[in-house]
Amino acid sequence: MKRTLILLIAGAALALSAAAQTYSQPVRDVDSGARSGAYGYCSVTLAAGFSGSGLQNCSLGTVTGQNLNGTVPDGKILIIEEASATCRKNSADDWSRLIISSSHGQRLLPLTLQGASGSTQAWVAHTTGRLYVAPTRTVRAQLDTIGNTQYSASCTISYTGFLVDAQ
Amino acid sequence: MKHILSILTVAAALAVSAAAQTYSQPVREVNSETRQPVTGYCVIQWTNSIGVSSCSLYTVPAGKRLAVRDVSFRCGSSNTASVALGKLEGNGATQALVLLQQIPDNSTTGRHFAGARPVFLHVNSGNLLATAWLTQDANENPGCEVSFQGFLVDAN
Repeated sequence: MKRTLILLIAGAALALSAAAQTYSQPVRDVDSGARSGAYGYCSVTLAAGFSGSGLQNCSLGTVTGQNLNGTVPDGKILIIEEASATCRKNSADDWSRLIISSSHGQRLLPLTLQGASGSTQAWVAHTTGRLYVAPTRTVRAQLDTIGNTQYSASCTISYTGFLVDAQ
Repeated sequence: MKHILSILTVAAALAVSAAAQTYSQPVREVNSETRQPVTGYCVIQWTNSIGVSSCSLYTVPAGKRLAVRDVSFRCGSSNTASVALGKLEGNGATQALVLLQQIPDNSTTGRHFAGARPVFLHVNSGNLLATAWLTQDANENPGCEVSFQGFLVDAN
């Protein structure tokens, strides 16, 4: 009878142990985008009379204030989740395209006219969707107009994302 | 003896059951988006002026990091004024806000525009999340209102 009681207590203890673990394992996702935020900028300016593609490397920094000098650290992957741009041009010129690109492809930023002051137009663009950037690689912006520009034109592109361990 | 064997079997079954649950235990993601939600709202009003104005949406508490995931905005101006460019700014990072949709109304003297979209922006502890808008040719009193939603995670 005594042995039976001991066995019963042991069984109950096991059951209680399993139940106690149900809510006792808080975890943190170390690769969560909210914990390892990153961002960058690039400005592209086309001078009057320019023809072709304006190209510019972008900066890269972390939410903790670390400047990564525009290059994804070795052993990390940058995941861009969002990009936007503000641009200015003269109404006499026409945009062709604005692109943000990386080692793994590119995303088009569709430009929308927001307002004007005289002949100077303000445009904005925004896109969500992922763009991956490999370790030791950079992010670049590209701006094109249709034909030669009669006046100078410029865009400032900003992007936000996060870094994860490559392995 | 038979009775003891039966009890041993039950105990063993309980032990196996506990072991089998090793990979089915629910865990708490302490930084889950739904555990520490945050929202904020602010208004900018120009008074017969042009240029950039800003308002503060949220200051991130010490030891926390803010993840912004959604923003919506609305601007109104007279027919002659032009609210041109909006930005969401925090901790050095910015995202441009696009006023896409003109709200239909019966006003002959004013216009209203709105926008809403997902955001992926992070602000470190102690830093401010703000919005800044540029208005041009403001002869009257244009204004903008902005609200955001996001969540806090532990900074470390």
